[in-house]
Amino acid sequence: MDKRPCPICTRLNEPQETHCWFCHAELAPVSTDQPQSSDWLSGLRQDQDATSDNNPILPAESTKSNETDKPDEFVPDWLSRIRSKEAVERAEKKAQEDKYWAEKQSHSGVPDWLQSLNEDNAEIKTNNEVEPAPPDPNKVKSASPIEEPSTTFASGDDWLESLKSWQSADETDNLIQPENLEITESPAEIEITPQPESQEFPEILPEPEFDLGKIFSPLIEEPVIESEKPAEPQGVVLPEGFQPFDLTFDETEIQETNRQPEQVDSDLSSTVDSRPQEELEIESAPVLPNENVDNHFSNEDLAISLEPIIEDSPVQPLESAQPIFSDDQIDISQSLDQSGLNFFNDLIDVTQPQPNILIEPEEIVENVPTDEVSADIPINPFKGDDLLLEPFAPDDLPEWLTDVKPIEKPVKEKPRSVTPAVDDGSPRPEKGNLPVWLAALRPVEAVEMVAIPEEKAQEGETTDGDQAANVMLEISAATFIGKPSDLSGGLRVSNRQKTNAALLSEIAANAETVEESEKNSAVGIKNTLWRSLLALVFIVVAFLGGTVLNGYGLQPALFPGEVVHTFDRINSIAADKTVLIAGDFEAGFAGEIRLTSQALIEHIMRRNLNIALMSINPVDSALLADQIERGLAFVPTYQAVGKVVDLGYFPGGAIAVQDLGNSFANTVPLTADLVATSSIDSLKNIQNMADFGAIIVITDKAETARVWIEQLQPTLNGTPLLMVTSAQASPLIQPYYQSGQVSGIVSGMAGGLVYERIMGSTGEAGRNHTSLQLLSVLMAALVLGGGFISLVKPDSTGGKRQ
Amino acid sequence: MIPTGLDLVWVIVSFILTFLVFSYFLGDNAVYRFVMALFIGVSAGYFAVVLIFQVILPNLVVPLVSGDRLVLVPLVLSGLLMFKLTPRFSRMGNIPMAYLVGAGAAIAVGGAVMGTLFGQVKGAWSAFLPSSGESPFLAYLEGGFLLIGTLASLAYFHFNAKKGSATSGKRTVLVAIFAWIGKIFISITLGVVFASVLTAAATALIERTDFILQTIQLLAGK
Repeated sequence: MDKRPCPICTRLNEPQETHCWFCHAELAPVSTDQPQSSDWLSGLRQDQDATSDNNPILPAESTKSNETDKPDEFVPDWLSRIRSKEAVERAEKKAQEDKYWAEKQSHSGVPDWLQSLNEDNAEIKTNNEVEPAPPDPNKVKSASPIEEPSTTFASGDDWLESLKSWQSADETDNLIQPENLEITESPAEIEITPQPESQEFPEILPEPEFDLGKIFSPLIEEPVIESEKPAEPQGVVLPEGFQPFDLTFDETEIQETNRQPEQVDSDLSSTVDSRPQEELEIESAPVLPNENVDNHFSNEDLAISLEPIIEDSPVQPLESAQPIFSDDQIDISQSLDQSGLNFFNDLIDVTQPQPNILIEPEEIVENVPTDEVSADIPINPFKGDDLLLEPFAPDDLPEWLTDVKPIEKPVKEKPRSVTPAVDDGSPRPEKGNLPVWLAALRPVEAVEMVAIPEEKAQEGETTDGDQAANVMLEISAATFIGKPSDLSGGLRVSNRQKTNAALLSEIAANAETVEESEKNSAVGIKNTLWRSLLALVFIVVAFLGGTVLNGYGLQPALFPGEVVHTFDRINSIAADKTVLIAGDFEAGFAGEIRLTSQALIEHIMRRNLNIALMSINPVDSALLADQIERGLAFVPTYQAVGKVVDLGYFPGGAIAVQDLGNSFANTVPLTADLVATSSIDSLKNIQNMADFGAIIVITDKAETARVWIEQLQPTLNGTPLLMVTSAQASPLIQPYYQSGQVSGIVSGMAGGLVYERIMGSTGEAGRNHTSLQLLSVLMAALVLGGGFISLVKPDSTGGKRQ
Repeated sequence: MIPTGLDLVWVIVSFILTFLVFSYFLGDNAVYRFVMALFIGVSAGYFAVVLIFQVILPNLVVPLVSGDRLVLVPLVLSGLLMFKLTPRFSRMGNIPMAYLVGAGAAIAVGGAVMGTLFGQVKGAWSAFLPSSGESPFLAYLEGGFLLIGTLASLAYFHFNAKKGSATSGKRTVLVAIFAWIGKIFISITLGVVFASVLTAAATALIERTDFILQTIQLLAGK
């Protein structure tokens, strides 16, 4: 009896079936007028159909009926085993499918997903009828020139059903399990149908990631290119990614028909990776097993292997089956057995972007648990998901993959070990010499490793301070862990290096300290001895000049003009005039100032002139008062109480002096005793500085003397401005005397001695002038001697002498 | 004059302190530092007393009590000047500081021009004028010497060079000669100043040694 084609899926069904065994569509009723052949040839034909018709999906009932109808027919053992096993499997499979479809069928009797598939099939079918399908770019061009009717495998369901046909019952059960169907029944999310529209965008069409045909294409195409290119496959439209599976069939697989689907599926599962994710992470280089890609094909094997594909091809005897490959091609493929595998492994290097390798959704969902696979998760069959993070350029990815998010595996950061590296004696990488600018940019954390004291962290009872310290340590450790490891890549320092560095620095520090301290101490002792010796010499000379050698000093024969003029100015002051003595010197120079000014003050007291004391420096008021008191020792007749007025401290510097020159009465309204200057007899007639008989400035600094000269001299109107200065200030004040701005100068002890000589008295200056002369000679000798020695002796410090 | 009583005590204290200061000949030591600290402390205390009783009281309090409101101006300025003690409000003290600096600069410049510059020019010119009884030749010689010395010293500090000259960066011959002469004058001046400083120091030493001798004689005479 002829098989009945399904109006929906066009698959052949047994005549007694009322519904399509594949799609469960209702079959057309069988015409009763079909002639029933009852001869022996028909039975033989039926047997041949059952065995070599490339249709292993005969219903069990038909097989049984045939066996029962013809018990005496000779059947090979292998065929009988196949038949029996197939019959059992079909029975189980049909029972399970019936049960399942009973649950899944809608009111119309057809599942929703099958309706959509049928609609798509109808459209595709129509298109295929209008124009022939273009050659599939993914199709192996070097495949055997098998010609199949396009109407047989034009639809997407046909190839799926053909897949079912050679699958075992167990595998089919797995395929149609409801949990798997949950994924497959949403074709909108997973495009499981081969798109004939791929001709529009052939470059970006997704390709099966484990498309062995594409992978093997170099192996297969090369011989074709070298030899004469065979004719293009005509009308063989196999589903994408499915056709190359036939090439993986082995001879042993053919013989073990029960294991064949399982083996293939297991191979597929190995590529799809239904194993847990942890195993995928451990998996190393993705090398397919050799038995799955064995290329040892024979003509017979190839013919048998293609049986499931050309099941609807015209019935041909097995002996007349045309080989897919020629003998030359087979030889070449055999010679490429191992090298081809290596080339294959190299070709599928997963570290490189493979934009054209896609995953066929059906193959993904078949053996992968539902809870681990979703339509949004791309699965790389060759490696774990970590390879999905490989540098795929967005432009290289197909459109459907751009929306796919890689599985973000939580990165398990290993805690960085803070224990110092143990020097095992192995050679360390040589330390690089970084440029200065780069070393300056290098972060400090990269140089010094932060070591966490473990005992601190392990303390059971800690104080608040310790807890805070621990927290800070943890924070610092966390920060350290978070830093890029690249920063500390070339900065490894072993304990030995650290120890050597510390030892070297300690030795250098101690050596430098010891040497420097010894040198300093030696130099210090030497300097101390020289200083003490010089001090002793100076003191001795000073004592000798004041005691033993006092009469041997040279007396001044010529009096300097500035001293003489000073004496003359003091001597020419009117008796009712008041002399203003302004002191502006430091306490350290009080001794010299006293020796210098003592004779002048004595002269004023001898003339019984009124004295007004003014101090620019706060201490000068007391020192000037002491001078007056000392003068009284030489001039006891002088009435200091009524004649001397202390105006006290006069602050303000140059501004005060300038203001003083403008108006004395307004500037100095009160005395040091808070008595109005206008109420004092010696000062009541003085409104300006010009009203004084003379202005004597006692100072030790040339700058102070210059201020008085500059600010006050123009306002004096002929009133003499006299200077009693220290010896160090006289050279700079001398020009003002030469210019007439200063009426007289008494500088230093020498000036005081001259003034004493002019007065004809013997004061402290005359008593000590021998000491001054001796010390001057001594200092001159030391300066000359030192200069000569420094000129002759080379510089011990190595400095450059000009 | 022979000190007695309290003066004698202070003389003895001064004698001891003088010897302690002389200990610096042996190097810096604690005794010397103690004397220095004592001197600074006494001076600071004395300064404070002097400033209170001789500056603030007569110049601020007394006029303020007597009704002179003009002293409020320096009082306010002085108060603003106190803000200089704190960095946060130190800008408040800029007003009196600006007044002081401005007034001081103006006075210094005015005094330098009128007192030193014009005065020294006048003095250099007057050096050529012979005084009574003085030979005009000597006056000219002295005046010429002072003038050459002044010009040469100024030429030493003349660092300008002729623009566009091949010897740019070098003094001209005339300026170089005057600068060399001026260097001699400046060297002599600095030597004199240095000798004067040494003389001043020697004088201070002499005064102290004389004090020690007088004190020893005083103590020995008793």
